[in-house]
Amino acid sequence: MIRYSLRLCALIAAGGLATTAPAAPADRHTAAIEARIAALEARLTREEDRAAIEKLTRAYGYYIDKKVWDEVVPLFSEDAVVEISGRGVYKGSKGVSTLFRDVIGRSHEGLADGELSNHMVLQGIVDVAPDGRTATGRWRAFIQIGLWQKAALWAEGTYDIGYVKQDGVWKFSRMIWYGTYFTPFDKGWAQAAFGNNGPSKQFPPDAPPSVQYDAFPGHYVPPFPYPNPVTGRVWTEADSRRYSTQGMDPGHAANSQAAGSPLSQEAGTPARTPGQ
Amino acid sequence: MKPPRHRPLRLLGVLAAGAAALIPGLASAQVSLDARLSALEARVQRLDDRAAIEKLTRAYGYYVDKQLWDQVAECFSTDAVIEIAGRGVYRGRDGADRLFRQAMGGGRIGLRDGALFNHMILQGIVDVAPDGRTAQGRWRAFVQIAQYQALGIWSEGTYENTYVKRDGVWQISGMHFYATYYTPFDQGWAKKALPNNGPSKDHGPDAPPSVAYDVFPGHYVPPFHYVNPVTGHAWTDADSRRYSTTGMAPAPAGPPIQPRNPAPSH
Repeated sequence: MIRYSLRLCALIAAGGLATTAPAAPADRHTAAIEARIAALEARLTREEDRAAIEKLTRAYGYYIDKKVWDEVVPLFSEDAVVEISGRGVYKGSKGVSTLFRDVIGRSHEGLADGELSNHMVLQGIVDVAPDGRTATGRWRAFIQIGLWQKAALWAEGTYDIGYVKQDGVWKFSRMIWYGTYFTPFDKGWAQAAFGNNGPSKQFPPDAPPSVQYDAFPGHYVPPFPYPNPVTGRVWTEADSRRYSTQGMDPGHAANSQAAGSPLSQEAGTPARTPGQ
Repeated sequence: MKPPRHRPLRLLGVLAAGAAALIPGLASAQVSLDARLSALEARVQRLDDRAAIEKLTRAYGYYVDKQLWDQVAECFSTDAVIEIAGRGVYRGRDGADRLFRQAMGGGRIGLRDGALFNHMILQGIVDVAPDGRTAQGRWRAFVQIAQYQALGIWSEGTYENTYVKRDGVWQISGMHFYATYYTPFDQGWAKKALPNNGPSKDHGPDAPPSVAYDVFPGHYVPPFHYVNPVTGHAWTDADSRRYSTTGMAPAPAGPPIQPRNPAPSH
């Protein structure tokens, strides 16, 4: 920065001394400097975009912790597409509201008495598109959920997120969350595994799950939105299939209404015991 | 951290003005270049500030892990206000020393044999004020506390911090840590919930806790310092009360949970 400023000074000083010369060289210098400043401005805007997107995503996590749906739902664009665990695809503001408020929130704003819903949103990789209008993100949530004297679970999973900048504000345009494991606190992942959450009967999704995948003891590699940072190799869905199991999800999410942890169940669903 | 250097820029301004006077056609272009450079510098400064504050907060976590209380206390400004769990409010460097080294460390710096005090400091949201002199941050700690063969605890909680830049160096000027839960490793949060850490008897706070709140199985929403990033809705204390329980803490704040040396045998 310092060196750059000094060079700029030299250029402008040269321009100032060249009063008797034709204006053209000075104009060219000015144009070149303007171009470099414009390039710096663009690079800086991308860094600010990345910071804004990180804040958006982490803020989402803190709101989810407390199930503050009034703050969560507006974080999504009007045409957002959201898919959490194996619950299927919810579309647009109405779909997003249904998914969070009714399906995940069971039509209750805020945590229920005795409920825990910790979602630590971590390890973000954010890539802003060259035009600065969209971005992709890969994050993970490390989760402690439970209901006092009823259930305590550890869970973890990966977010695949699309962002869009509208009127200068970044929003979620796409969110897919892939559950890696759901395990009861008192047994752990060697002894018990719950299946992925399945679609709601009462508030069905706009489309079935876009991909069938296994939670632990099976495994799935959610496609990486970015190429390998060193080789530039692009990850494909075929790669994901090659490195993933099939039919090992303890609940067979896409086929079973009873899949998922005890906390995801709707009223009237018989209590499930974990697989294994 | 070195303070920003302005000399080249000032020099640039003088030269630009000189050039503009000599070449009237360049005047507007160069004044505008000067303004654009100044704006760029201010924006870069805020990103640098954010990075420095992230480093400070994460460094605090690594020091707390090992109970290096002298290093911890030095992360704070001389007029800092610190409130951790239900321990009450400690003020200034003297307060920081009393809270960290004496109340939490029992007068000792460094972990005792067999002690674990992991504090992963995660999910930071840092907002630097437009004037670049202060900042606010929300973070969380995911905590494992143990004394070998005596105690094993999972815990988690939220930080709302404030920061101040003094002589070019960011310091923590306010820290409020709100515990979410404490549960024994062998039982978990469905079966056993421990109360919040209460005030130390021997090395008490300068003021009682500023807010009474429930830890799990109750819950509390520590007020968000930031407005909703999309709607701009400002969170209020009334919102926090609306989304929180009262009277559901497992018990009144109790004796602090921390590693204890079980009668050293050497």
